[in-house]
Amino acid sequence: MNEPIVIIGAGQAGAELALALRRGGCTQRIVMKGDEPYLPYRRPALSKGFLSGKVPESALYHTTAERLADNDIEFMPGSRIVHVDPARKLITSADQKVLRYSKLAFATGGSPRQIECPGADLSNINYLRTIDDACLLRKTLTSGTKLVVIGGGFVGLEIAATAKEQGADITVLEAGPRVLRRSTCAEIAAFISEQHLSAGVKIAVNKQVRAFHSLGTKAVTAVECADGTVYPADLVVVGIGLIANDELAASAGLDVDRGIIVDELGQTSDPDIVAVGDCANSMNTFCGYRLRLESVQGAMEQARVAAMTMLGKGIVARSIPTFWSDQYNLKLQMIGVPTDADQIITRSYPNRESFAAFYVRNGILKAAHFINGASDIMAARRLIMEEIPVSNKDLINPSMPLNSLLTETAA
Amino acid sequence: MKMNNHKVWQCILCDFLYDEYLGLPEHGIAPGTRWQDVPDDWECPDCGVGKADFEMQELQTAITA
Ligand SMILES: Cc1cc2nc3c(=O)[nH]c(=O)nc-3n(C[C@H](O)[C@H](O)[C@H](O)COP(=O)(O)OP(=O)(O)OC[C@H]3O[C@@H](n4cnc5c(N)ncnc54)[C@H](O)[C@@H]3O)c2cc1C
Ligand SMILES: [Zn+2]
Repeated sequence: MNEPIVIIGAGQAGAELALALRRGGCTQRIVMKGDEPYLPYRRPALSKGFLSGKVPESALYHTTAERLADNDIEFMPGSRIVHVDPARKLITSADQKVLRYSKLAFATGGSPRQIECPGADLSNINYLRTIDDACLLRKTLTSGTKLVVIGGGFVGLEIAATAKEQGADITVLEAGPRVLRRSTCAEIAAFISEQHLSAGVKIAVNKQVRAFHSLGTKAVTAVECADGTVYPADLVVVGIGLIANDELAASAGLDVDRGIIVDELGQTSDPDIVAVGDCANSMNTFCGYRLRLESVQGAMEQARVAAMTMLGKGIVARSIPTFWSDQYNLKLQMIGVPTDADQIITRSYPNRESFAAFYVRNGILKAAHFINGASDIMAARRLIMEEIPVSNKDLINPSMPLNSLLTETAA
Repeated sequence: MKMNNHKVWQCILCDFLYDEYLGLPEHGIAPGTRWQDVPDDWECPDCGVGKADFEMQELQTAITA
């Protein structure tokens, strides 16, 4: 079979998939098509160091053009796929070019959920997903800018922290009763909120945005909430979640449900098609159910597994979800799946710079979230993976290094 | 450059791969630099964990060179 392996989407998952195919000994042609004009890049810094200007664009790239060329990966930027025909194994790009594939991968990522209310189309209402979005934001963000961030999730809070360093005047509007409700416990969220408050960022909860207003111009000047409160704004950034880019797969007849459905090998409902990264709703071998991860670790892991699947040597990896976030001088590191636990044990440190939350079920650690606690990550991972029994007393105790709880196997 | 038994180290937090064969020229680490020769204060370029939070991986590393 001489038709190439084709990858749709050139983000971190797509690029890692291509490289992993070669690492795995693939000798076929590999074509990777992405609709952005850039080489595959890493998004995390877009709301952190790149937004603040500390991280240069060159440091975002996941790989270089030379490395792709050395690996015989035919990378085509600026090429949007608009149609997939699995019966004839054809894909069509926006310029109506048709390409036949032997095997296909969806690595199409996701798009920011759009806010729907009157005035949502005013200018200076932005989203953050791409280098272009970040550059635009960076240009508009100056000292004294009145910035309203909508959504108290990681992206929103990271933007707030970065913008504060630039001297902006910031309000975060969260629709729910607290920030970070989907991703961490109330205690960690409170610790992080406190940092924002002491930096001078205002956080308002239970604020559902009802409308955006302008004063005759095209640019937003105020945000109105359902409770009638109004916040003046020169700039709005919306971070209210991600929608999987699964519509192309759906129209090709693949099974989708808030993401392209794949098994633990990355396989979709079509045996010649895999899906990886933010676009996939995949069976997670660690928790034993399907979930859509929105993380670098998830994207990379799934890409490597799917590469092996495409090469016919399916290997199931037991991968544990992880995530991190940087805000001010806080480094938050998360490992495991908190919803698998029924008890939360928190650990306060005398220095008040670090904090940890442990998510426990029946004496077994299911997840751990650390603030400035990097030295315990490795041990937490082993406690979780190896299901080593832990006592609440040890978890609470800040002078008990997690390492010393790894009693079952020699460290 | 030929390098035998080069290893790949993986960040446990974000899955970043350090391949001894490739090094990390962008970070001043030349291709072929063994893991033990990577500076101790080096941090994962993606998520910032330290060197101690990397694990060696038994990956196939047939890079076409
Ligand atoms: C601001 C921000 C901060 C983040 N911070 C963190 C963090 O701290 N830690 C963490 O773990 N994760 C973080 N993430 C999430 C992480 O970046 C994503 O999980 C990761 O990028 C997913 O990679 P992906 O390759 O699946 O998708 P993407 O990186 O989105 O790549 C998909 C690519 O496919 C392209 N594409 C889509 N449809 C088509 C089509 N039809 N034809 C051609 N191309 C197409 C898209 O334009 C895009 O370039 C952050 C994300 C953002 C936006
Ligand atoms: Zn890392």
